[in-house]
Order: sequence, then structure tokens, then C-alpha cells
Amino acid sequence: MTALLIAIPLLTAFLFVPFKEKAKFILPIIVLINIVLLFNLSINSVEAMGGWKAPFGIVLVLDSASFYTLLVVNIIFLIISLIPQITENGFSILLLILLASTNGLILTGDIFNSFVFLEITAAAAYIIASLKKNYYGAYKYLIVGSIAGGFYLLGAIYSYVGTGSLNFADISLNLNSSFLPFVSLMLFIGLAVETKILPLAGWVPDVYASGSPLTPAILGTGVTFTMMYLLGRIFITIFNGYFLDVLYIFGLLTLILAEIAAFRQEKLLKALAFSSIAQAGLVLSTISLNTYDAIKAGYFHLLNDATAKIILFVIAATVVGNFMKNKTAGISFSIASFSLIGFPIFAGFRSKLLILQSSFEKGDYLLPTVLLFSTIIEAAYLLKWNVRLWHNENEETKQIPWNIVLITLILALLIIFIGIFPDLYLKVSENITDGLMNYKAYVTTVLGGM
Amino acid sequence: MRRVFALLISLGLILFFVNSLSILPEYGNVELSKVSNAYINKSVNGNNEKVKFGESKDLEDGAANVVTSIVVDYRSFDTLGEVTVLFTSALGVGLILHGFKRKTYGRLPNFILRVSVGILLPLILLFGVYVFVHGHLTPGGGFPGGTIIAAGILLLYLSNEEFDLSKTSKFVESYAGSLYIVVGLVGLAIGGVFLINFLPTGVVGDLFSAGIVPIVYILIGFKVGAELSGVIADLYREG
Repeated sequence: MTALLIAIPLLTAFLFVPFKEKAKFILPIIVLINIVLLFNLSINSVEAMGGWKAPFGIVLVLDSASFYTLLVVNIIFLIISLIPQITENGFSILLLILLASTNGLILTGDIFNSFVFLEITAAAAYIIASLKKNYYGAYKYLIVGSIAGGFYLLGAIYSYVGTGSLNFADISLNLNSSFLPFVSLMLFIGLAVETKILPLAGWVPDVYASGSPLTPAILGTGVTFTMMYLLGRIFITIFNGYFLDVLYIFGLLTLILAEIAAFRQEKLLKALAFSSIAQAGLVLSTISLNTYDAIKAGYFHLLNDATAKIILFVIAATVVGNFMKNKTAGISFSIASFSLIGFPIFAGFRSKLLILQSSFEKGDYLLPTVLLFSTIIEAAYLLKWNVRLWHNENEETKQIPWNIVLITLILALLIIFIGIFPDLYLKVSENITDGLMNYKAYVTTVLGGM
Repeated sequence: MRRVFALLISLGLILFFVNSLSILPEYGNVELSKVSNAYINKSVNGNNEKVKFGESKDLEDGAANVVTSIVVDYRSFDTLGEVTVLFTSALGVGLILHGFKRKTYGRLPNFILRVSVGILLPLILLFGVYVFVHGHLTPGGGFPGGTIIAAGILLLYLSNEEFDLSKTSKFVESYAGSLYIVVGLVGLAIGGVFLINFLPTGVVGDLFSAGIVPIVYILIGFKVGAELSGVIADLYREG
């Protein structure tokens, strides 16, 4: 039954090719069906596609980690589908394909299958990146993404040579140790583009700052969350913590360099794009501390970041001129940016506090130092932008659709709610962490008690 | 400075790949892994008996072409994904080039082209259909078969300025893709597993063998042919 999560959106996307314009009406219904279906599935089930058992065929694994990640990503898609104004004609079909492919990426237990879904996600993302005639950014993304896809494929091939099978659980059990450094480096290069880790994140500002609200709102939240989950699945569950030291260094470099770059930007959307890169770096270095608390804090922070980023990107791309004319949207924007900085009573404060706690527990003082320093930079530029948007001479006004105002306001209230009672998000991130760290349970569930 | 960095990174990658060669098995001396063995002997669930062409009956997978048996049966879910990759790319070409006019030259194409299309087109279409119908027996299958058919459609576009197939190709693409998933869903309804081979597999090497494999390959052939024809129609515009 798990396969339906992928089959239903894909079938709808195929059926709606001749009537592209109508797809935006069906999108929220399909996402709702998916969420309802998800709650009716039993956790810890393994489904073999075509009936070929692991490690021979492709398996879809639904454990607590993939269940909660699916829930988060599908809810993000639901939110995006409820504001159809930001989707141009015909692009709803791409959202359906993206939904199918992210669901597949989260569920799959097979490395080549994950490459295929990575390719679909990337292909849909390139096209979404070309919205608002942003062909330069999309082209840059296409080149970087395709080369990274090549590295991921090569990593999959090497792991097949080293193991004799493509199954994740089998790779983690039987991979020849001389292959480990090569496979992990190639898979990391492949994933670094999509998770926005710095030497390979040069495409992000060009793509996110195209002026279309849809591009950053979906790529920076749903797709990033999926990729971070996949990275955790590969490096924490399969390689069992190997190679995480390298990831830690790259994460810290990304965090500090991207915050400095964001500070120097003259355009709001570019600043937000660099801030998005920086948060990805922070989450990466936090989860690569590889303790239960650190991984929990990392995914908790990623959830907060995703919630804030939907608000920030949608409002930054739709509001023209002064916030005094659009007070509600302005208040949501300010709340989201305060959460990003980490002021108390906002959600970001909770997760930054947890990150600090968990890294002190691990005896690591480098991450807290860098985090506090980057928070100062972050506060400086986000406050500057808040002041500039509330008090400027721009008299242009544009009516913002009511549903954008309503949804961003609800999300902003959610941020305050999480800041006071963080249990909801903590439960999600705890469950993701449980699933990712429980390496033995994963292998036995997939390979059936070997 | 940029060039120095680029040089250093390229040198690093070259060193990395040269280093990685030493751990790969020697050329021609590869031991088949358990998965490859199971695929070749068609016994993921069986007992590793040798498969005999034209004799072995009712195996778990009936395709004589080992590549096809992997692509459309053992790893059919990946193929569904690859079909979607092509679908997404074709859709993207259509969305990005939307709004440009069809390119016209205002004069009749070359006489040789017009006449030879009439002779070549049926042969090309027949060959394309042959390739994807026999995908489970001989090298080929839905992807090359569909491409051959699209090449025939390209000839039609070149030889006739009025020719337009973009609407039809959209419908064919849509229904062929949906039917692939429907075949998978029928498997889910009958066998309880998505994309399970629910038809009898027959004797290895017969035209009517291998269960759903030829059906899926015919659908892929139509879908790929329609998609590539759609791409041709989209690209044939004034920029």
C-alpha cells in the first residue's frame, strides 16, 4: 500500500498533461488523500516492489523516521497548494511530480532507486527554477545539479561493486571497507548541491531570488527537508557515523561564509537565499555531531527554519513597497525573522538553545562559538531589513490575496506557539531521530532478521 | 585566482579517481554477486537452476533478454522513475517554450524529402514497433523503439509545414503513462504488491511470454515516442 503514496500523485500528473491548467484544482485534493493514506499505513512495514524481496528488488521502507518526514513534507506541499496564486499556469503538474518524487526519495530503501528519484526531483526543480524567465539561474542549477547527480550515480555504482547489491541495509552490513571513503565522498558531493552546502551552493541565490514566490517556498523547505533526511539516512543509518567529521567542517564553513554573504546583500531575496544556505550548514554540522540530542536538535531547527522560510519567502516575493500598507503580512514577516534570529518566545530560540546544549554535552565548543557569532550577523541584517521594510518612502501598493495573508499569519502564530510549547515539533524530530539512529532495527526490518 | 582553484579541484578529482581504480576488480575477472546470479538464473525466490532457452517454463520471470528482465521486471519501479524523468523533461521543454510561434519557411520542402518520406515512414514505424514488441526477446525495448518512432514523426514535421501532432501526442503520452501505473495498480489489487507480474510467464523465448513485461514495454514505447514527438513539436519554433 505504501507505493500508493508515489503512484497516486504520479498517475494524476500523467492524466492531467492534456489539461495542464486544471491541475491546480486537483493538487490540494491529492495531497490531502496522501496525508489521509499515510495515517492508515502501519509503521515499520517494508514493501517489496514487484514482489522481489530485499536485497534483490527495490523495497519501500516506512519506519518512524520516514513516516514523520513524509508527514512534514506532505503538509508543506498542502500549504503551498492552498496558495495557488504563486503557481503559474501549468506548473501545478510539476508540483505533483515533485510530490511523488520526494515521497519516493523518503520511502526508498535502495540506492539506485534513490538516484532515480533524485533525478526526478532535480528535473522538476530545474523547471520550477526557470519561473519568471529566470533562465540564467535555472541553467546554472542545471549544470551543477547534473554533475552532482553524476557523482551520486558513481557513488551508487561503487557501492554496488563493493557490496554486490544496491539495498541500503545490505550496503550498511556488507560494504567492503576499502570502498567506504570513496562511496561516502561521492554521495556527499551528490547530495551537497541539493542540501545547499557551500562550495556547491553557488546556484542558490540565483535561483531563489528570481522573484517568484513558488521557487524558494518549495525548494527551500520541502525539498531541502527531504534531502536533509536522505543525508541523515545515508550517513547516520547506513554508514553508521562514518565521514561525519568532514560534514561537520563543511557545515561550519557554510554557516559562517553564507551569513557573511547574506549580510552584504543589497536585495532582500538574495539575503534570504544566503540565510537559507547558512541554516542548512548549521543543521548539517549539528546532525553530524551524531548524538541523540544533537540530531534531535538539528531536525527541530530544520522544522523551525522551514516554517519561517515559507513565510519570509512568500511575503518577500509578493509584497511590494511598505509594510505599513500591509500590516498583517508585515507582522508575520517580522515574527518569522525574529524566529530565524532566535529571540526568546519564538521557535528559533528553542532550537538554537537545544543545539547549544547538545554540543556542550558532546564537549564541542567550536559549533557554539560559530553559532553565536553567526547569530549576531543574522540579527544585524534581518533587523536592518525589518526596519527598511517598515519605514520606507515607497508609496507603491499592491493588494495581497487574502489566503496568502491568512496562511502566513497562521504559520506565524504557529511559530509563537512552538516557541512556548515546543512539544509538537520535538515529537516529530524525536521520532525522526529514533528511526535514523536505530541502525540495527532498520537492517532487521528490511532484511528480515538475518 | 579562480583558475588556480579550478585547476586544484580538477587535479584533486583526477587523483581521487585514479586512486579509486586500485580497489575496483580487475577487468574481466569479476565474480558475480549474489544479486547478479539470482537475476541471471531467474531465481530470486527459487533454487538457482540454469535457465534453458526455449525449454524452461513458468519461471518467476519469463524474459529471454536478461537486461529486459532486470529493467522491466526485477527493477520495474526504477523504470517507472526513468519514464517520469523523460516525462518531466518533455513537460519542461513545453512549459519554457510556450508561446513561441511555429517556424515556417513559406515554401515547399525539397522534392526528394517529400517523396522519400512516403516510402520510409511505414518502414520506420514498423521497425520501431518491432523493436518494442520484441523487447523481451531481443536487444531493444520501449526506449529505443519509441525513439525510432519519434524519428519517423520528425521526418513528417520536416516534410510538411502544416503537419501538427502536438495535441495527439499529449493524449497518447498521458494515457500510456497512466496505463503503466494502472498495470502496477492491478498488480496491487490482484497480488497485493505494486507492479507484481500477475500474468503467466510462459516458455522463455516465446513471443507471448514474460507476463506483463511486453505490455509494459509497449506502453513505454508509445509513451517515449509521443514524448519525443512532443519535444520535436515544441522545439520546432521561432525563437
